[in-house]
Amino acid sequence: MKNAYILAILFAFAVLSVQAQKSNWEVPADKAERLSPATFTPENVKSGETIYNANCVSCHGNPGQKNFVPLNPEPGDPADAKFSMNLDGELLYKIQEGRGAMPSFKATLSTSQVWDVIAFIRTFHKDYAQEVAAEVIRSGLSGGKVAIQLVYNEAKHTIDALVTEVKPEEVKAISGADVKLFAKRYFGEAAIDEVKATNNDGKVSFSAPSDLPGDTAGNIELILKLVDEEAFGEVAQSAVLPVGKPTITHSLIEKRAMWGTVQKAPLWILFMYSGGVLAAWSVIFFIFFQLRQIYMAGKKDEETGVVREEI
Amino acid sequence: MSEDQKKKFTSDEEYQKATRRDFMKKLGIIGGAAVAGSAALVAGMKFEDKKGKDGYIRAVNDDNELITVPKSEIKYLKPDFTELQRRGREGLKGRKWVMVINLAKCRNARKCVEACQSAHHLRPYEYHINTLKMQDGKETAPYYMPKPCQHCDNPPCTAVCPVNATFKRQDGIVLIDNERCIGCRFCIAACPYSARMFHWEQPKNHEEYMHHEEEYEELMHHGKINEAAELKAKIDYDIELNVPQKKGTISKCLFSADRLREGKMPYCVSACPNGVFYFGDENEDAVTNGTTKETVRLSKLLRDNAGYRLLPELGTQPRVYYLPPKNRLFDFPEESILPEDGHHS
Repeated sequence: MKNAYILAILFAFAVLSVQAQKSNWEVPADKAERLSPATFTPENVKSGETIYNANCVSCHGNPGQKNFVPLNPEPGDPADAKFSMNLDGELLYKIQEGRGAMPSFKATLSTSQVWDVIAFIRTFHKDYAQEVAAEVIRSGLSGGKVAIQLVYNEAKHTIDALVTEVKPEEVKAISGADVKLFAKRYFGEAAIDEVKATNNDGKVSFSAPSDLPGDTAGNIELILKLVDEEAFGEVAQSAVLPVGKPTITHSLIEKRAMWGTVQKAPLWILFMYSGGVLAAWSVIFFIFFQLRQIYMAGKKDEETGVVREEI
Repeated sequence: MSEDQKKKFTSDEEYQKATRRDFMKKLGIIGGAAVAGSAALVAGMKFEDKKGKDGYIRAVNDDNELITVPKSEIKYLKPDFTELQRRGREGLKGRKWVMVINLAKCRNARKCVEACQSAHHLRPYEYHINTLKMQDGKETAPYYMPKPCQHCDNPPCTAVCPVNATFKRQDGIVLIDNERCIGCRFCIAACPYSARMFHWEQPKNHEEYMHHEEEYEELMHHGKINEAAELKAKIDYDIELNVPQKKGTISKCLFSADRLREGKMPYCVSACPNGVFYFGDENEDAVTNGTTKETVRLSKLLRDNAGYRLLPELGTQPRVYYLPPKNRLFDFPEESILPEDGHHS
């Protein structure tokens, strides 16, 4: 009987610990170990505070005041131990990726802006001592610079990119690098296709989005980005290519409609209205004209002395 | 020196002294002027030198001619009232603004409401956008729904306006010109979405504007035209912002037409912390999330999530789409907000 109790308790613990682990936010080891390339300065902290107040405060509240929004799961106060126990890399990953109700800030904030936010949060962690990356190692490069060429292959209807590393003495193809293609839109950049890796010749090919509206000639500004910022730095290349659907835009008020202003009112309504006004005034004028004629006729009779008897 | 003046002096010596003093005085004035003049000349030349080639800026004037202007001469002007009215009526060419509201993500944070009210000078109980508590039936779950003006492509409100105060632009926005509005409220009656509000009382910042008006009159009275012009630009009515608001006129959501012109998303869209709003151009088939700034294809978003519009049976063709409150991120606190009989009171 005793054993059974112990077993039951042990089982309960096991279940609970599994539950607890489930709510943990696992960060891939290589991402967790990421370090800021530079020591946090008061400028970083200040900029981080501004960014925090614009993007984070609405859920997480002011750090240290525990005035976060009571959601489930609760967002928590960034000054709490739950946050301070995170490595810098873990915080970076969680802010950039997001999960559930926590939105991803990958497209909103640049990596350096996220580091600024972390610098700000860290000012609330007492025992924190910053570890800085020894040096910024661009593991994908051997001292050169990335060059990207974007071409439209009309026959195959693909957008071909060539990613190379340019050094003074040679030009080397970058193989196996993840790249992503975007189309410039009014408020942001829309991703086209999935992330693709360059082949041994540094080449990668995306199918052209023929249904994506371009300008009147189908031109779209495309941007190719290298995904691995750590290995290559922030690299992007844009080019205007005729890959999209030629689009002629129409004004929403070019047609005459009932809801249009006077200039855009339907013709029948303009005719009906002006005709109506004209008809009403004509009737009024006609009556006045008739009255005048009766009056004149009476006057003429008076002058000539004609007396008409009533019938 | 005239003969009369000469007589004042008793001796020749004194006369000599006086003329010398006069001469020195004149010399001083001329000399001073010469020094000042040459200094000005030198300063002017130095200024010309400093301007150099970089001191000029190339610009295109109203007649589409390329001109160069010295940078020091450039004044950045806020468009005046006439210009604000003209461009406000015209709208942005080649655009068809569209908004998508993802009901699954709204948790009634009301940041959109607050941002809107602060931008358009509204009191906490005056709404251009409001988050409503919704429940469609007794067996369905309640959810939150932000509701701005739907900017219909077939707007009943503009059809009934007797004075052309409310109108639709080429980019799809339905605006309201409170300089023309006579306060008849026909549009309020016509709008099936209850998107419009009426200023029954003096608007929020009324006193401040009255104060500025007085200040302006005073500056004009004292001939301080530059300061007056600067102040005027601050208090000029901006049709794309509908500020200053006016008592006895209508106000409503404007899709933040002033922000779109600058390439920024509407106040409500950018303020949302939960990624509820998408905003973009239908002509580009793309909308951008206000929180994550992620840009997606409009057609795909609507197709994948079964997007819908409010009261489609009326044929108003709204420019605001909703994504159903499926897999909600935030639960409604109550299980049901309907009374026992299942009907709203």
